[in-house]
Amino acid sequence: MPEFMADLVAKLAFRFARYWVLNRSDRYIARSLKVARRIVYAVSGDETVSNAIREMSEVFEEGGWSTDLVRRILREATPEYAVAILRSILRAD
Amino acid sequence: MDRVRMGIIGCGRIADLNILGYLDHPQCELTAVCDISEDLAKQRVKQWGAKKYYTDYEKLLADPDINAVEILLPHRLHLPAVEAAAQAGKHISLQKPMCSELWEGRRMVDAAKKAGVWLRVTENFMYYPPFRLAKKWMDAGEIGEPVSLDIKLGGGMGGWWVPLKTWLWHIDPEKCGGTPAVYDDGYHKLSMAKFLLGDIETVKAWLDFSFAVLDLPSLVTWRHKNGVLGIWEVGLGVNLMMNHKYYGADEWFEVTGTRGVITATRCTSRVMEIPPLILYKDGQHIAIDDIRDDWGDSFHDAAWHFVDSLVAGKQPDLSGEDGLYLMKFWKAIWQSTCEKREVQMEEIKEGEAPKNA
Repeated sequence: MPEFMADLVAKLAFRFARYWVLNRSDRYIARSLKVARRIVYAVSGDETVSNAIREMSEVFEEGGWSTDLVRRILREATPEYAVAILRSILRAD
Repeated sequence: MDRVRMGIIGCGRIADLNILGYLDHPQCELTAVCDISEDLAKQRVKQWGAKKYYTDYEKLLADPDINAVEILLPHRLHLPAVEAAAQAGKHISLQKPMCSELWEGRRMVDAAKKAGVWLRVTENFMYYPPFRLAKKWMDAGEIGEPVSLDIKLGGGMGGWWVPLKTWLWHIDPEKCGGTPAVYDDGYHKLSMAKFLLGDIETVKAWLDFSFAVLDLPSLVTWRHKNGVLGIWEVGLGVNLMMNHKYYGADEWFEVTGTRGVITATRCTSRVMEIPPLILYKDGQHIAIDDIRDDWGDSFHDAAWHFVDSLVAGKQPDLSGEDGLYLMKFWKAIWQSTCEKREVQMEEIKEGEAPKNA
């Protein structure tokens, strides 16, 4: 996929994800992430992405201060920043 | 003491670095590790060759085989862990930053003093070989009288994997005890300023915030008691990918003197592919390439210094009082930011502990 297209997809995905996280409960998000993780792993077999989603689902499962913080950051985050973070999380190391 | 028998309390990401010098020092043995996660503790036993593991630090502290501990816990747990370790008679190396409130630091210092154990607050930059050589040059007068210190920190993306939960408590001011860049990571830079040029007289700072919690970009300025001026620019590159195996940040230090300039870089990351240490004087550049310059080396040497000091029966560098001083430096920065004015270091008081603390 050309880079401009990947960026566009990531920015749209970010807007959707932000709306979703800001408007759904922790438990709902945790459950959805678990399902998403299974699907992503089945389709791609990518452990890096799968582990990143698992970590996120654990955070939402636990809830409390950490998800409050995630929402505070999301309210101020820009799509460009989110794309950079995603690239950082999804890098291979 | 002829042998240090070390217990590691907290086996998370940073332990990968703090452990380095304890593994190969001839007078140190890794006796036990402790982590609230049993899986992680077991993994570290296997990885580091520790003799045993615990999941409760009180139990590790009750172990008579251990005579010193490295505490690598979240900041808000430092006070109870240090007090318990001192009471158990263990010498203590505590991960920076020391505390959130100054009275906590004072209690740690008092606890160690009362128990007759050594307390040091670990900060690795001071042991980064290029910085040590830079200090040696300065002390030898290679650049004449120091005039100013410039520090630049660039924060960006990339670096090694850190658990999401760890990132989250680091960037939450309530859990972290301060801000992520100037307080938490900044401890290294404040420590370097004091190490290179001594005590601070006055501070003026401007902390800006991105994404609600990140104190970036920021600018901190100060004057040392010897008149040298310091400036620290804390930048954030949202799309700046850092090319290194540790954290996504890089530092640049420059000391200007009356007859020369010393530049040191490449500590955490490698944005600048230039020699880690350069001395400019008398119209000549002296670039030092053949020096250990991996960030891990600074942690390694910090651990060796702790062991060597315990074996020699003397207070390691970066004592509890030094740690407390750097926390006052941070408090002056914060006060200056909040009150939008220059703050004298002597204005910063330790204060009393709350009654229920």
